[in-house]
Amino acid sequence: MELTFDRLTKQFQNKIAVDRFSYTMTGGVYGLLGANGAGKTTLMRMLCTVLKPTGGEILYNGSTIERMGVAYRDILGYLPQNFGYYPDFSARDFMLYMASLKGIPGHAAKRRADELLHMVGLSDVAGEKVGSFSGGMKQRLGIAQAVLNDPKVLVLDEPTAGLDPKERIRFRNLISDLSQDKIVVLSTHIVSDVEYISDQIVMMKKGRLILSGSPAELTENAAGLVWTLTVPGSQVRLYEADFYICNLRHMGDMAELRIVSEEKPAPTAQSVPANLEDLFLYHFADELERSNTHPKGGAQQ
Amino acid sequence: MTTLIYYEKKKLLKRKSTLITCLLMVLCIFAISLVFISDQFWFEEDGTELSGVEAIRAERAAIQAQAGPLTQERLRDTLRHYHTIYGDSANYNSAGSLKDEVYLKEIMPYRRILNLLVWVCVSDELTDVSALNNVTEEMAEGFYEIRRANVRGLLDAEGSGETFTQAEKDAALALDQQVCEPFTYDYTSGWRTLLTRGFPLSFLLIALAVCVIISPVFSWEYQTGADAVVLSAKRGRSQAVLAKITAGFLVTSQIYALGVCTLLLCVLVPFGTGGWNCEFQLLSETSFYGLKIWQVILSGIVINYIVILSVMAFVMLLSAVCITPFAAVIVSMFCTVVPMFFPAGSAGGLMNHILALLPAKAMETYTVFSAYMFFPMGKTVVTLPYMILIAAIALIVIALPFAHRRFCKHQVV
Repeated sequence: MELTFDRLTKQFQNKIAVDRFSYTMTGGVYGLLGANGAGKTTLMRMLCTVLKPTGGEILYNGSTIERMGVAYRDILGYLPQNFGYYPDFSARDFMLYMASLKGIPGHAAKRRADELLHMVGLSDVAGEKVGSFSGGMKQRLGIAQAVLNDPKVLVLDEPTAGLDPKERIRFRNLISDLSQDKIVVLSTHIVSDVEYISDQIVMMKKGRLILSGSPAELTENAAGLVWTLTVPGSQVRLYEADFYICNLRHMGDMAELRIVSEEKPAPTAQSVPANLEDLFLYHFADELERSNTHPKGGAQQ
Repeated sequence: MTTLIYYEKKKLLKRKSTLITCLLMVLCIFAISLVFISDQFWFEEDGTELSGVEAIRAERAAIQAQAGPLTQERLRDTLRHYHTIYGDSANYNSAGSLKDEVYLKEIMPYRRILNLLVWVCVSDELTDVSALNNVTEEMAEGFYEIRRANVRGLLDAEGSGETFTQAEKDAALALDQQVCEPFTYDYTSGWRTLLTRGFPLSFLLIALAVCVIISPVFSWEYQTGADAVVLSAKRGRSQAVLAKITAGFLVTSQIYALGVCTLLLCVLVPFGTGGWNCEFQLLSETSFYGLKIWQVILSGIVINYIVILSVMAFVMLLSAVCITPFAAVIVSMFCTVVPMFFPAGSAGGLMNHILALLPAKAMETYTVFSAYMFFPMGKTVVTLPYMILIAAIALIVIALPFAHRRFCKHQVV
């Protein structure tokens, strides 16, 4: 089972959303990590054949997915970013409709739908209208429909967006349960969503693949980039101006800073092991600045 | 596939807009029918004015008492009766006009027959029976020859500016040969109301309802974001699209049946079904179609059904192209309604022919079977009803595959 992205490109007028993306996936969970606008959703849409690439191709076991057509979509499961549903359908109705779309025959469809609704914790509300569901319930319904046909390629685009921490943990566990013998591609900009369940992390920035590897490999490669430093509270602004601070904790008059920097920020700074979030912030600090959420500092182009 | 069709139908029928639209359509048809009934009037012999259902009953009784073949002798005798009444000075009041009680007793019951004589023997634009003062009994006896001559006259475009080819004239005259004579006279007000007033408005309402109800069939997938899930599924670009089209067809048929049944019930229950087997020429004397009233009604229902299906196909195409159902509704309603504001004959020849094929005009069954309009197709001359069918089927055959393709090629961005 192998999914190959071969110089995949997507251009919208003057913007290149995905830029010569090349990567190979075999079985396991792949966390696609990147800031907003990195090209994750565009990549996933091309992977699910609902968007045509401008260049390059995607191959499944050596055949282009475009040529495979129905055969590829038969082994595909997709939960898009803005999951569309029909508010007047009950959860069961929706599952049976999706089962029919996926070519699952009658009795098998009913059995599978009930089984999955139970698995995602929606069997008690199976007869209620989807329009009355909370965000978490809708996402769970979304994952249930995505795995109806027991797909070999499961694509989940920002599946935990808008969910509270409890729902997000539940979702992560669900994905782990469902990911056996599959290629699961899970995109997010929330690091903790992929940190614990992904076999491989693929980082995207401005449409390009910038980094890939297991979480352990990536954090190992980031050794020496993360520092902790305790400074007087009045000096925090000076450090904010020059460095990227990924965590700030005030302790009375002092403040403990966690800084991502290639150079030691101060003689008293201590090097600490990096985690995936540090790595994410290191690579995407400038994009996060543009989105006006963090001060200047951190990784430079 | 059955399951897919079931759920696609459910998607269309479960929407609030569907329920509201159907309700509005039925209520409007009902309201229109009430107007048809309320503006009926009749005068008893004693001068009592009746309106509404009472007027309908009274008129029906009066006319059904005279039901039967309109032979030349009968027409002559009716005209003679008219001349006798109007020729007797004792029937006039001091103001010099016919006494009301004389008119109501001697002329009113024969009014429909007298109108026919006026339209055929004098002019079809007159409604004043005093025009019969110049009509002789010989002319009344020659009613049917004069009618056929009128048809020939219209084909020869005497004074109208229209010109018809010899093939078109021959086609019309061949059809006119099939008109049954003598006409069967009976109470036909119900059918007249249905054809001249009920059909145009009601079928337009049905068409507008179809525009609203069918518009979400593809565009709602775009709006809700379900397009990504549908198009990435195994059958999302094949059976699912066919299921949508089939569901659209079934829902359209249901709406059509609801609208037609409502109209027929609301009009024929109070007016009655009498006169169903009379010649259509009782309602449109220069029509050259040799059809009974029930045949025209049935043809109208069938033709209008195909036209409504063509509206459905057009709406589906717009739905596949537009991002939202609202956009599809606005464009389709605009295209459906605007042609009705072009009066007949206001545009040039070709434009008139095109307008006549558009839904707003094509569903006016009375006009369709009364109009002198032909469409040459090679050596064959096609009359308007058939051409409407051909145009509607052509639109269905063109629009649906385009809609299918458009949806399948949709890119989720």
